[in-house]
Amino acid sequence: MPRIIETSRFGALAAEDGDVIVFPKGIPGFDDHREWIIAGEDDDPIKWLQSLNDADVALPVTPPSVILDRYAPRFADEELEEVRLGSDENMMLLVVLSLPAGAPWDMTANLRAPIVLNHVKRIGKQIIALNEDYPLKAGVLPEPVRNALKAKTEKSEDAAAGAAAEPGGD
Amino acid sequence: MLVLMRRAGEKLCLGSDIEVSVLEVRGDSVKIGIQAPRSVQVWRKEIYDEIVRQNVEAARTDIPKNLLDAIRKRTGDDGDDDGH
Repeated sequence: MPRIIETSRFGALAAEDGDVIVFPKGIPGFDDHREWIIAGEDDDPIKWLQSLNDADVALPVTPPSVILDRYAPRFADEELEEVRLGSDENMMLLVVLSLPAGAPWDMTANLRAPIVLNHVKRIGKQIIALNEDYPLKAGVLPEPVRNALKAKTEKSEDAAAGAAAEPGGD
Repeated sequence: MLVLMRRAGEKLCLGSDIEVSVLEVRGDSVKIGIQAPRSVQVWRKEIYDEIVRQNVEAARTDIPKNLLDAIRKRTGDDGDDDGH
């Protein structure tokens, strides 16, 4: 029997028992949120880790391969084992994305503390990697793309503001 | 806050199953060893605080569609051709 939650981002979501991923210790910042599901369109590169405890809480996440060619975090055995449960084959990683308000093109990915999932046992944990050189805020988009998005947004904002201002400086 | 003076090589016990060792003191840095059950998580405080801050901020965001397209483009082809 699926649970229906009314989310602010996706409207009503049906969470089947088999979809639920348990984070026994929650996620830092959301320590009491033990149950999450992955939401989002199938073909979107960004998915959402949606809390079942609070319909308004969803973290944008993406598989590291979407933004990086090579990503090899190392974890303390004890920390990993809570999710690994004896077998490597069911493990997957997601990185949490942050989008600064008003400047989403400056999106960063937290490479230091990925979400580690066992997608068969449906257990997850955000683990701080031992790789000291992995940043908490790694830039995602290359600069030309960032600049293009920024310019496009400013242009459409100008257009929306009407033709009141002269486009000076050409 | 309990404040204790320890020298390099000395230890502290927190309860019966957590042991904190001062391994080395050099300038204003202290190398610390921690022996604790696996149920006890140990973090550098400033990193943990930053992760909390980022998660809370991330949970508030929405992602504009053109940004999704930009990321999709990055993954769709192999990125050799940027068009010129």
